[in-house]
Amino acid sequence: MTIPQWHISGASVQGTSHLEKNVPCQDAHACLLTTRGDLLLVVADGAGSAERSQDGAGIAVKQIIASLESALQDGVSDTEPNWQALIAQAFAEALQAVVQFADSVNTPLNSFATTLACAVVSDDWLAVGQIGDGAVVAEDVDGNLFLTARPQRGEYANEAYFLTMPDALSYLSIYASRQSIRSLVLTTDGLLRLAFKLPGYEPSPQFFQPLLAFTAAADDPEQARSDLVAFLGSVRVNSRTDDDKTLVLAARVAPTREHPDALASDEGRGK
Amino acid sequence: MAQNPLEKVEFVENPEPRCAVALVLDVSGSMSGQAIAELNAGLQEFDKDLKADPLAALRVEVGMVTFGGAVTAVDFVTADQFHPPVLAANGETPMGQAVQKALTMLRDRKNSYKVNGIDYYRPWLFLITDGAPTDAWESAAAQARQEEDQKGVSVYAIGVEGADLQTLSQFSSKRQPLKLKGLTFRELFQWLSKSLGAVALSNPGEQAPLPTVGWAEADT
Repeated sequence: MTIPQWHISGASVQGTSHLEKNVPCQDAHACLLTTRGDLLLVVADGAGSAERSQDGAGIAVKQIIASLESALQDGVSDTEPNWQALIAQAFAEALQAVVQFADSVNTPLNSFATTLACAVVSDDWLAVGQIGDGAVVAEDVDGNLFLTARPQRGEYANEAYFLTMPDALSYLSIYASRQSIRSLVLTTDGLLRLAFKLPGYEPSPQFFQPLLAFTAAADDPEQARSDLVAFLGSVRVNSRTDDDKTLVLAARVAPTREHPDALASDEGRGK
Repeated sequence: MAQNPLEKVEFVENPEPRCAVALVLDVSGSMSGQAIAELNAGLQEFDKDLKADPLAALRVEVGMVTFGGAVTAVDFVTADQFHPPVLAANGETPMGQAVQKALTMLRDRKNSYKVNGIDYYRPWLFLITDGAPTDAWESAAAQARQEEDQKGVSVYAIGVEGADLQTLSQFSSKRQPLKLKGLTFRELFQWLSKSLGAVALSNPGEQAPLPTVGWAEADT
């Protein structure tokens, strides 16, 4: 079996309102292409009102990557229920890690409030899990863009769902389907109003196609990341959102290509 | 420097999320003279401050219900379209009917947001009076409390000198009425525009902290 190759890039950049209020970037993300070729992408958005939410986001992201990687080591059976169970277990472990950390520092769990969204591409399966108002958009092999799970929102524009809220795992939405994926975009809520036509959350091709073309052409991961950071911090973006914003991008590299990327790993938070 | 290839990314134009406020204002006979003049000046200040904040001007929606003899309503418009009327004072104080009208207007407004796919924040009902209701107000007060308990609205009740604060306290289940210091309507409305601006810019998961109240008398 040939190991699939991907171009992967990700960045989280502090929002202007966070800068003004001296609040750190509370978004976090991580990407991993495992040795057996499974692609793992995660984004998290710490709550603006929760004082240690950047830690909640960071811990959740780190743990869910570790849980998914470990669960995938032996391969997954080809059924939707198995994938759903795998995603649910990874979210449970991510929550557990945040709970343990909160306990260890004697701080209430809701101080670490964060959303969490992950996507896994493994062989010809796509599995996505999400709590909160992140968004995961996939492009199939025919070039169709689709939203795998609708951002979860309350009635009001400043209400949100978090991994740390009571009974959170019951709100987990999971998408698992056997289909070939050409590219994936994960984002936090800061970019929703720029990237989707509301209220139906239809992904806008004018937003996503240039991003995907950029990712597919991004031979140099350093340059791609720096372009992405510049874009997310640009005046143009900041004039439309004052929130933290994250993009994680992955595009499959054509098998004929001469640039087999080495193990790509990019984990971290914006400045 | 090479152009960033991501300059090609185009953004969707979605409608701005809205934060509706219903101003429920006492214009009964007892408000005549300096009180109504200061209230009018306060409304001018409110209008000016909201328009000075470009995003608040697009996101805050102002509706008005005045009560003095009759109840008169002006439906919601975004702050950039708002023109404060010059209010005149006369007649009795049908506060119950006015609050009921404002609650209905807010419910209708939320429905129209939903139908049109517009995001919105929890609306405010801002009630100002210098007296006591002269109509049957109990069921309107109960409705306001119930709506607030169901997180449908935030009610702020402000008493001007002479107001029956005991009755006013029945209109909110969450907060006590505040007593305006003298006739500092301008300070009151400055605070209101700042507060609404903060709410209307809050992102998911944020509770906007409200500015300090400088216009109310301290509890006695």
